[in-house]
Amino acid sequence: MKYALSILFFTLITSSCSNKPEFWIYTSLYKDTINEIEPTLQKQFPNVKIQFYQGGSETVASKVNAELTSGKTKADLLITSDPFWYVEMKKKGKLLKYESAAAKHAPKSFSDPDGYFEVNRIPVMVLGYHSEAIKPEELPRTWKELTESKWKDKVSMGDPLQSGTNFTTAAFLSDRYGWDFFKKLRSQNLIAAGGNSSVLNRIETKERPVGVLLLENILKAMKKNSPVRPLYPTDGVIAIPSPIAITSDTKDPELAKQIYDWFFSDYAQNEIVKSGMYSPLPHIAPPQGAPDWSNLKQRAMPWSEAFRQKILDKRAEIKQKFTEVVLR
Amino acid sequence: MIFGVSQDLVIEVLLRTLSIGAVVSLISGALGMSLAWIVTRTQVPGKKQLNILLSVPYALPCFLLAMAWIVLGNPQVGILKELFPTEHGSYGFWGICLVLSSVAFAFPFFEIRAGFDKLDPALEEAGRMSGAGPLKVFTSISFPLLWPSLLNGMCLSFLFAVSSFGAPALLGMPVRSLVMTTLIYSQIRVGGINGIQDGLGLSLILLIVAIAVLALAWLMNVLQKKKMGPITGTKSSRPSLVNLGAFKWPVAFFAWGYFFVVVVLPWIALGISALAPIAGDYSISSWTLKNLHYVFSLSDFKEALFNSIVLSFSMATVIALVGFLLGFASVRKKQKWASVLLELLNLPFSMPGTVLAILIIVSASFLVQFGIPADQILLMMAVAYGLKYAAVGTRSLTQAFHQIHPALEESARVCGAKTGTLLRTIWFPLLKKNITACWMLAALPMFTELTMSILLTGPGGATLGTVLFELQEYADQPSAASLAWILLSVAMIIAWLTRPKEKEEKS
Repeated sequence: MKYALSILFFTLITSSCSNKPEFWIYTSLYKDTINEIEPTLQKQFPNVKIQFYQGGSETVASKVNAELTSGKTKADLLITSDPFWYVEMKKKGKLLKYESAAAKHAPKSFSDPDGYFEVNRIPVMVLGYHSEAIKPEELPRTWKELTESKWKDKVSMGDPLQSGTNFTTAAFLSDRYGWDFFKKLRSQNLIAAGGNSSVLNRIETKERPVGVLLLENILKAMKKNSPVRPLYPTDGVIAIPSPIAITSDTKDPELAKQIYDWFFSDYAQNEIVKSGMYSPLPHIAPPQGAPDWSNLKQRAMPWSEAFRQKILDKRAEIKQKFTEVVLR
Repeated sequence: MIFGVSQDLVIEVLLRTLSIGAVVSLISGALGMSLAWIVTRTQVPGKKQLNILLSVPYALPCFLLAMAWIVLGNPQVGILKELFPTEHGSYGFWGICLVLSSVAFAFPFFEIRAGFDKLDPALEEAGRMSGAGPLKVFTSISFPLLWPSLLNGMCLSFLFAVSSFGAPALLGMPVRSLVMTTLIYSQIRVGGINGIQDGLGLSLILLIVAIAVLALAWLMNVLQKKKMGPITGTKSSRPSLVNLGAFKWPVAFFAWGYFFVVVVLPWIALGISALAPIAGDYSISSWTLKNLHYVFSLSDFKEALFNSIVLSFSMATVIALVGFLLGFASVRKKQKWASVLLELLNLPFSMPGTVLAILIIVSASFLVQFGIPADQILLMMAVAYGLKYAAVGTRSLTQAFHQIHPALEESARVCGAKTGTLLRTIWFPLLKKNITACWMLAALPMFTELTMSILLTGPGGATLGTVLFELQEYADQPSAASLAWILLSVAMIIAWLTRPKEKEEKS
């Protein structure tokens, strides 16, 4: 027993050593996606050891912020889903300007006009529901309808303090419908806890058969024969343009630009689409089972530089208000 | 406003926290007392096994039990929702109390079991000879001698309950039942640097509560030594066991049923969730190993396993070593500083992990300003684990020093042995088993640690706890349940492997 353990111990230690320079990608891409693309990416760039640090957007952001307060970040490339944080990073001078030819067809409203970050993929927030628990004719059509009394004890969403995509959602909905919207949801016992996976879990177990949920979670669950189905609210689905950016602390800017471009390659984009998000590049097909981007775009709440700025300025206020109105 | 939170809310949350602490310590006290009595003084069927199995819950991480109870007591679909008095099922106050008590009962249980072992059975025998029934013997002989142990154990349960985070986060936050630790957490999440300051401020309140309770526990310890001192020591007789008569089976049902509810039921619930293809589909025909396979295939899992093994093994070794030396210095050498240090180690143990982690982050970034690279992730984690769980290990080692008669040491000293030789040739061999036990007690919670790891983790710093959290938040429930099930099973196996051996008779 003791020998077995010490052998295990030393194999683990020796296997983790290597002397190639490291290239760090901090990302909120899914673990499956990383598992899938890592070997190909590593083969493409054999002279560096590509390292991933994966976590939720908020976790990655607070890690980078913490690293920055004590000097510089280890990250070379950032790929997460919080569009507001990138504006903040840009203002602090922590991003490297790079206007990549590989991304020139990405929609301009989703990108930084000064070229410090670019949209790399587009998760979409919609509604999910349990197809056996709710009859088709009873389904809500809009976000607004969720405040009706028949949805009491039926709805859940993620916690905007923990999940970046849920923060963006809360920002959009409070901007459009005011805090009254959330006050009403609160009086209907809305559960706002955990990340998107908790919402999916609550739908699948019928604990809360309707939920504010990312389309990608729904599509992935459907592949596993889950009874959850997507619903596209007619008052606007919420597209979350998720950026990619190079940090100004990168040790090798040229390499960073090559890897940045690689994430716009057809291979990388198709892998990302496989995980249920849209590609910003028009020639890449939508995720399987999802409507065309051009179709969905009509139904999406509008993004603008001004909106990004406004939400960024009110970020703390939105979190505080949401906490007061819903969480406590 | 107090630290960014309205005064009413702070009071409400503080009251809830204190009531949870009170309820948990009362339940733990009652359970610990009766179970300890059952395994030491009765002839209940399967007593030997019970004695060992009841040490298992202590090793189980609360957040895993909470995950299981969400499945079992879910207000809409849980099969055991009727068990709970409110419409929220296992969410909220009672669910939190249930999960915390099922682990926290171990503190009074261990204390009182040790008390019964030390108590000279001749006293109880004398009572019985004079015609007192089992109840009379208990109320007028055992209890008056053991109540300081009971209170000491209950104080520990109380501290454990008010400083825990995982269970109240999973069971309380969805229904807005906040406790101090979750309030601190959400305050930190609300806003950047102000949030951290507010969080630290709020944790000050918790710290004051903790210090007050620790002082009470310390007082009980002193009182207990005073009481037990003159009447214990070398045992002259084995305790004669109480004949339960007609109550034999109900008592057995109670003790075994307790083990079933606290350990077996959650294990089954997590197992079924791990085998289900999607959450909510629990029919046996659709069970699959895909989720377990997925967890093992994750590259993060390999990194996490490596980190968790390295961290828990190395820090447990440090704790065992420090505990051994401090115990020697405090018990045998009667060094005041060592005793004070041992008491001080209780402070980080009763501090919420969230607060401890933030204090470490803040001090690390302070040291960085002076060019000391203290912000290495694994280093910070090692420090956090070491501080948090030192008390767990050192407590048991200090007691071991008390229990063994120093005759051997004295004779060695007479022969001219120096301290180093004493430690190496006498105490180490004598306490080998206790040192191993201490090592295990410390290693086990570190292996599955979640609360502090989440805040401290970063690139290259995944641990089993953080991977579980990521899976729970971003993957799907069956995958998270799979990892939780693996961890729970490992914790149970280790607890079984390191079960306390039958006490050797000491002459």
